[in-house]
Amino acid sequence: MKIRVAIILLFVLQALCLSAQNLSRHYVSRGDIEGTIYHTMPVTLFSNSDCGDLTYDITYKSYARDTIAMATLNFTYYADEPSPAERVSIRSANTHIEGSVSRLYIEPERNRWKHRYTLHLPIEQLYGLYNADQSPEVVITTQSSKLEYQAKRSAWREYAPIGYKIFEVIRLNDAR
Amino acid sequence: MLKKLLILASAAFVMTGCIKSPVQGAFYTDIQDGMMVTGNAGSSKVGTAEIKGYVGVVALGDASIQAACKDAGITRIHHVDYKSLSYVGVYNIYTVVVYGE
Repeated sequence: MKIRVAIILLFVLQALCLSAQNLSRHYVSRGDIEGTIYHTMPVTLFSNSDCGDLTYDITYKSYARDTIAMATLNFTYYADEPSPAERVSIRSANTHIEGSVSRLYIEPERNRWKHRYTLHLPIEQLYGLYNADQSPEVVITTQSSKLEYQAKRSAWREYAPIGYKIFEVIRLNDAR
Repeated sequence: MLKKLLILASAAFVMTGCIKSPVQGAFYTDIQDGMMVTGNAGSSKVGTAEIKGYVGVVALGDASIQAACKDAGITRIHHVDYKSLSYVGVYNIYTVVVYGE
């Protein structure tokens, strides 16, 4: 009986290991006539004790004609009341990303408000973001307050090498 | 023992029933496939939407194309793909990925 359970567990563990090592689970890339588009799947790596989790994804299209390659960072945060964002800042020891954000939508979800915003930023600013030893902090400046999000340490440590590898793929294959 | 393993594999396969996929693994599935292509040119935005299923009993989420478009502010769809991930039929994730402008 123990051997049978061990075999089943082995299958499960093997499946989980396959998944963890598989970079394609964490991003998609598609080429077309204009360039290649890369998209990291949404991840929840930051949290705020009052507002909950912050989820974000990043899209980048490598146009050969662009002089400054711009990426799009879309993020979702929650609040008890509608809190429209104006700016976002992502800061770690080596990285400082800051910019004005544009609203995608704000809508109620269960008993909270879901906010979805977008930020355009140079892709170069993201190359140094994913360092497992340096957890960044995210600050969303709303019309009435500042929402500070801390990195979830274990989630960040687990995802940072994956994020680094994805942006290394982008950097090495950039059309410019 | 072989009989029990076959029963387990069959149960796992049945539990992956909520995952749309031309090929399914009884123990592990991690695939991407195309769903739809339009005549619109160009794509610079990508939106995703997903549903999750637990133990073949509970399934939650909104993996509609509309939800994925809304996620990224897409108003003109270029093409739609999907991803399917399943662990032993116990934990399933189905994600729609929309490319567009």
